[in-house]
Formats: sequence, C-alpha cells, structure tokens
Amino acid sequence: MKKSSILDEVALIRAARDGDLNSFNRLVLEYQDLVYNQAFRILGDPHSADDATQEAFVSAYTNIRSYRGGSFRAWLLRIVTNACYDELRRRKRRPTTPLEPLDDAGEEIESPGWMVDPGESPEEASQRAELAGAIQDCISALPAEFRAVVALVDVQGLDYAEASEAIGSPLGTVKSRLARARARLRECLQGFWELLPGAFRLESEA
Amino acid sequence: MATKISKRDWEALSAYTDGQLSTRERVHLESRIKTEANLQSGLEDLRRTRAMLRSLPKLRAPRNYTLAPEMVPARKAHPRSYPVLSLASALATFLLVLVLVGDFFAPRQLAMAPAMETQVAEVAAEPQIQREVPPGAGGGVPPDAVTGKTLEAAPTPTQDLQATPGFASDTQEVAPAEEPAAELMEELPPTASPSGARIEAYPAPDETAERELLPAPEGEIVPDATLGRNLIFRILEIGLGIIAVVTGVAAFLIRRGTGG
Repeated sequence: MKKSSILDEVALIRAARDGDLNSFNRLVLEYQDLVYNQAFRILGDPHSADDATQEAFVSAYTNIRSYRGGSFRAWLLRIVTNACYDELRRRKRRPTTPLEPLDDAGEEIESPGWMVDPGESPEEASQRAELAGAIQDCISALPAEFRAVVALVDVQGLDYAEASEAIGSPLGTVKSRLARARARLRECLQGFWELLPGAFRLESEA
Repeated sequence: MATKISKRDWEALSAYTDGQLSTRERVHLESRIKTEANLQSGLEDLRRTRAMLRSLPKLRAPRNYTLAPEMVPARKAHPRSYPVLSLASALATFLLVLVLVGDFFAPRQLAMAPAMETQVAEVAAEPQIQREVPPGAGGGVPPDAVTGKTLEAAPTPTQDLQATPGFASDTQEVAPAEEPAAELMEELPPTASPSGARIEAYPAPDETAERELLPAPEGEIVPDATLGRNLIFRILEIGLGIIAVVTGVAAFLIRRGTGG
C-alpha cells in the first residue's frame, strides 16, 4: 500500500471512530472484495459469504473503537473469520443451508458467474471452474480453523505475521495449521493436478 | 510419495516454500532435500498444492456492502466525564504503584536502623563494661578473675534489654554466686517478677555505663515513627486503590453504555 493511501486510511479510520459513516463506507469499498473472498473460502457458498460479509462490516463499524492500530486489513479479516465461525456453528445446529449457489430460477449452479474469465474459451472456462470447484470442495472438507489459515495465506496472500494477527493466534500456530492443511489438501487434490493451468504448473516447479 | 514424511519435516517444508525459515534452518533443510528422496517428493507435492490454491480466482464482491445509517445502531458520544474518569483512574493507579514501591522499601530501612545501632552499641560497649563495672560492685567478679568469666558476668546491652520473665534463667547465670544478690532475692516478696528481682539484685553500674549500653535514643523513637509511617502508607494505599477502582469501573460502564 502506498504511503498516501496509508495516510488516507488512518484518516478514514479516525473519522469512522468519530461516527462518520461515509468515511467508514470508503473503507468498506476498499476492502469488500478481500472480506468477501475470505468468507467465501471459509463458508464455501456465496449466500452465506454474503451474509457473513455484511455482518462483518456492521460489526466492524460498531466496534471500530476497539481497533488499536496495526494492520486494518488483518483486523477486518479477523472479524469476518469470526463471523464465519459463528455461521458454521449455526449450520451445525441447523444444517439446512444449500452448499451450491442457486440461480434466479432456484436451480443449483456449479460455479458463480463472476468466477469465469470472459476472455477464456468455453473449454478453458469449464476446466478452470472445475478446478476451482474441486479446490473449494477440498478446502471445505478441512476443519474450520485450517480453512481460515489456508484462505489467509494461500488464497489472500498474507504473510505469516499478518495471518497470525488475523486469526489472533501465535505465529507457530499459523505455521503448523498451514502445514497440516496443505498436507490434507495435497491428498485431496491429487486427481486434479492435470487441470492446473500451465502458468501455475511452471510456478510450482520453480 | 514413497516414504512418509514426519510432521515436523512437513512443517519445515511448508514454511520453506513460503520463505519463512531462518537462514540456518533453510541451509540445513536444503542439504537434507538434496540427499533424501522423500523430502524432494514432499516438496514437489507441496509446491503443486500451493500453486493450485494460488490459482483460485480472486472473487469480486457480488454487491457493495456499504452501510446505511439505519443498519447500524446509533452511537452515543462519550460524556464529558469519561476522559476525566479515565485519567483519574490511570493517575490513581500510577500513584498507588509509587506508594506500594515506597512502602516496600521504607519499612526495611527503618527496621534495619535500630538493629544496626544496637550492634554498634554492643561492640562499643563491651570493652567499656570491662572497664567501667566497678570490681565487686555487682558482678562480684574479682579483677584478677579469668577474662572469660568477666565477659560472661558483664551485663551486655542485650541482656539488659532482655530482662524479661522469659530470660530469668539467663539472669541467674549472669550473677550466679553473689551472696548479696541471693539474699535480696530471698527477701523479695513472692509476687515479684524474676526480672524485677534481677534489676533489684543487680547492682547498677554507674549511669554513664548504663547510658552507653543502651541503644541510641533514635532506636527507641523509631518504632513509633515506623508505626506512623505504616499507618500513612496503609491509608494512602487503600484510598488510592478505592479511587482507581471506582473511577475505572465508572469509565468502563460509561464506555460500554455508549457502545465504544
């Protein structure tokens, strides 16, 4: 993040702390993709992710005075991760939420429309969607706390220190959970290796 | 993967792919990877898994999550008393810590002072006792007696101070065979305390000696001063503690009430 945008962020946070909702909404626009991604990776379905994201921003605004500096991104990710844990607990008590998103007609769709790159051929798009679905299924099969760490480090690209701040656990916990999560994912994803796009294959071999 | 990798090695490989190992750990792991096929294969699997995860598209939020005023509870501003109470609580806590530190160190110094003075007085008094106690006056020890005996018979300041009923046997040891003393003791009424008997029976050395044997006058005043100081410390500690807790709780309740 550039220095000027950091200064902007600090000013916006200060204004939001004083009750300026417009300033907070500018922060929302800046971070909503990140927060939504985290919710989606943990919960595995867009409807729950949508609810959790909204809930997280309401909670963030209500509790913004408890933000004591440090990474605002990590603070937001912590709030949304906790909102997701709450949702998972609710699901455990009442397992009625559909796992696949529904279209306008109420039919299940395999992957949401925004996951498809409009520049891809239908075949590529289909493969990519299949791979993304497989990865998400494997992530969803992990225990919730493993999911959160994988989403933070491998999907969102946070470093260990920031991930540790986001889940409120020591660095060693992040390291250990991530290693265990990756071990499980490796087994789960073995059959999908061929679907990995060439660019990523080269990156993995580097 | 042919051979199983231990959890520890897997964790090291995972951190290695993220560049999170220290230089020493990295060098050590790299040397092992070169020689151990299972680590090589594990590392390859891990890189592949990581690459797959990173291939996931970054999703865009399906809508804007900006908040409308009706979506959030109205937040009340902190009343003016909040910063005052917070500051008062912090200040009282700080002063309480200072007083506790002072309390911790001050009594020790005061307690040590009389003890040291007594010791000095003992050391200073002993030769004087030998010099100033008149021969045959009370101790009845002849001047040509063995030095050890003289010392034993000579009343030390401690013995004088310890002239309480509990030390009656000491008294007898100090003046064991003095006939006048024995006679006087027999003459004493049965209600007289042994210490009283000792004081009466023991011929007082001259006043200069007595004065020199006693601890410094400050030693007698110090306990009163210590008591006074202790009382002040207790009052301060309790007072500051109450202020810190009451103002702290009040500030907390105000903050909670305003949703901050």
